[in-house]
Amino acid sequence: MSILVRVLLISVVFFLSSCQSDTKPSVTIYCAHDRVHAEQILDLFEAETGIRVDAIFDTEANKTVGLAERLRAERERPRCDVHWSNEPLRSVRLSHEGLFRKMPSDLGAAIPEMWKDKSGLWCGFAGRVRVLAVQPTSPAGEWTGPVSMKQLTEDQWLGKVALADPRFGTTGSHLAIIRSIEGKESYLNLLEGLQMNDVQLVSSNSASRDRVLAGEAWIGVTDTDDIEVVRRRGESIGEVFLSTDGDVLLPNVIALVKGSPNPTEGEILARWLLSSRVEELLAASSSRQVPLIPGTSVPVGGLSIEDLDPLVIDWDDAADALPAAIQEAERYLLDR
Amino acid sequence: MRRLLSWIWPLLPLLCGFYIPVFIAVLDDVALGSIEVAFSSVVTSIPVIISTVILAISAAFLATLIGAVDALLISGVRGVTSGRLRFLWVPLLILTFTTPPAAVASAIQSTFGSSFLVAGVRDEFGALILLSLRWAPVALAILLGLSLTIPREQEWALRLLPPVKALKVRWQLQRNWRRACMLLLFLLMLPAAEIPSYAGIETISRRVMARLTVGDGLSGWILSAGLAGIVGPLLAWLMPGNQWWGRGLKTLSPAGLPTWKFASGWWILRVVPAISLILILIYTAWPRASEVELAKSEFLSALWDGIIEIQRALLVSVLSVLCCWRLAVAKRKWALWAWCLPTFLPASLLGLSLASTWGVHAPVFLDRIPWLLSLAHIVQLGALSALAGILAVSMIPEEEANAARFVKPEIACWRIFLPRSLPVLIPASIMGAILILGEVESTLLLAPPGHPSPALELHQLLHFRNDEQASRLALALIILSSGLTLLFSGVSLGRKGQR
Repeated sequence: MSILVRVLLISVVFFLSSCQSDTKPSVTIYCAHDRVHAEQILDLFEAETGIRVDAIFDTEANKTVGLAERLRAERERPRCDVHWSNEPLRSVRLSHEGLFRKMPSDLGAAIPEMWKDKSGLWCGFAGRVRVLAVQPTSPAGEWTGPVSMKQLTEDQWLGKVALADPRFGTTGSHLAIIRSIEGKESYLNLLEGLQMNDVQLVSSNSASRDRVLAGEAWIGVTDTDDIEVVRRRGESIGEVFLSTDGDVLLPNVIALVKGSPNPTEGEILARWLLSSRVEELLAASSSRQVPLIPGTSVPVGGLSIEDLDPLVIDWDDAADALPAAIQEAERYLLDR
Repeated sequence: MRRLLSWIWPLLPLLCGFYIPVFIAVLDDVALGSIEVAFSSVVTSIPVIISTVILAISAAFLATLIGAVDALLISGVRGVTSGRLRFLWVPLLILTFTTPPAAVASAIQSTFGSSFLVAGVRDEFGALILLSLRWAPVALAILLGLSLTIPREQEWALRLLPPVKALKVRWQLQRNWRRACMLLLFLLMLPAAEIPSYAGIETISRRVMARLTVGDGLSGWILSAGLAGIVGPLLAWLMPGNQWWGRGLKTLSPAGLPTWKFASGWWILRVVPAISLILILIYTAWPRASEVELAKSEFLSALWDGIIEIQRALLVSVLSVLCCWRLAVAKRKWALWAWCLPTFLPASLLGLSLASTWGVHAPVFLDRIPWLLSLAHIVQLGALSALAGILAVSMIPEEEANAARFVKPEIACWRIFLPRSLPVLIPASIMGAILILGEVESTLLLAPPGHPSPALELHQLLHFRNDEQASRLALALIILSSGLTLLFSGVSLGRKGQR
């Protein structure tokens, strides 16, 4: 018994000592971008500025309730200074809820206005594009010419299209954008068509891509970064842009949290992240992000904004459409 | 005052960590949301509730079956599990439970490719197998505990029967326990979210998450209330009636048990998943010559993070187990029932409730201490702790319990009952700590920045297909959890020479 008590006491001391912090200036970031890349960037910031970065990274959206919910729960006394989201609509919703503060005007000054909030509550940078992963040896591999989401409801793709759970991540955002641009009726027709065409619903964008790799689906609706990851591992997979609809480019988003504990350090970090240099790092990484600042260099095999035809999106409208889009998708695709 | 304190302390973590924050969060969400809309979306979720129930029942049946055969062979047959190296079998048999599901997913992904993870483990069947293998060790622990503590006379009589006949009688003896065990596993699997998410299966917990991601907390609460509506009455039925004390019998040595040639085949089959898992992870984690230094530092850093985290996990687990054990000693059945409920609430809801209720009022200096996370973990372990408390108390002979009435209640509790309960409470605390080590949902929502969490990191790596690094992390987690179980089984089985 006395041994047990001693062990517990030692554990308490050890545990409390591990919780102590130093007095260096610090900044807290909630980061939804892939940890592998974001951690390197944040380490670089720490090394250059001497400001310690306390980061909490998100998990893949459908495995847990994400950091956006944590921000909501902490709204009365935030712990986070900077929110780095990897898709814009949920950030826009948080900004509507009053969680973010106005950013200084020089933050992300080089980024075009179409990727920023009109009221200056958030700013987009380096993004990824919604694309179709296609099986090169299937009929979809011979696809030429413009492509749209509506074509996925055609008979020839019956049972051969994979789509990630529409309630999470970029798939939910993509559907909300379609609903916001094309209207409810057209959106419901698309959902009905997908459902009638026996679309394969999978847990995530990477799972959608993997169905294509396994040959079970010919087409997987996914993001450019998911395709690049497996290409760099030597897999053969095709990539088709939704050029008829216009390229749905979903930027990363930086926002400063209202009432955060380290506002000055938060601004320094946000300014650093919204630089051309960070966009270059992200473009060169295996997440192959598309830089938004004109003139940012893109490595060979990377994606440049000049090569794309990005859809002009009303972010506020699309964010407002998100809950309805998700519930309708759930009703049509999951509950039937 | 002292009496009041001793009455209330085992309930304090539960009230502060669950009922108060949940009550406040529900009120907030009711004020913000529309009950009509929430109810209508819940109605459309009825098919999901039904499919979750079917999945949980099937997995509970299979897990109980596996655990029952394990328990039958360990209690009724001599073999490798009763030999000199029997303490090695415990970690192997329970490895599928002590390994975080993310580590299993990592092993599957790295060996067969991510397409196998989604194509081979993606449907109800895949989820069923993964859930069954994960929970079978719990069935084993419960059924073995009960099988080994039957009256001595009954045990000797069974050993005199022909081997196959004895096994049949033992199997019949297990029948009622199997039923209760299956029911308990069913309840524990109902809120499963992580394993079904790897298989792409929709469950109630995933639907709750989907609601929360668009800020619709009210629908989440109503769905959870539906879950509680299933769980609550069944749990009440599982609670002990008047018989709290009494099994209280020392187990016998394996001497006199028959041998049975088919047993070895079963054990080989049973440890294949665990050994394969370890070999796969070692193979994947093994670095190329140019990466030795990097791999070493990744592995050691994951191990160190795990060592730091396991201190907290042990403290949390001990506290949870002690609270429930104290309630079991006092035979407070309904308090134990109340302790069980948090385990069945999706962890995200609990995490958000704690963050929005206590987090906003906490002084700044507490921001760097994982006190909220610890509170969440204490109550999340409620069902395991309540089960441990009830089992521990039931192992105290009735005569001893009656004799203890002659001393002061507190002395009886801490000086007599506690030492007698340690053989159950210590493994339960270790099991609880291992479960906390693999927990990700409330960790993501409540951990302070910089808090080490290898399981969460593993989750983040899985998505990116960084198989080698993920395997190193998974291996570090398995070493920690197996180390703990090995230490315990070595001390308790290796030294005493008794099962």
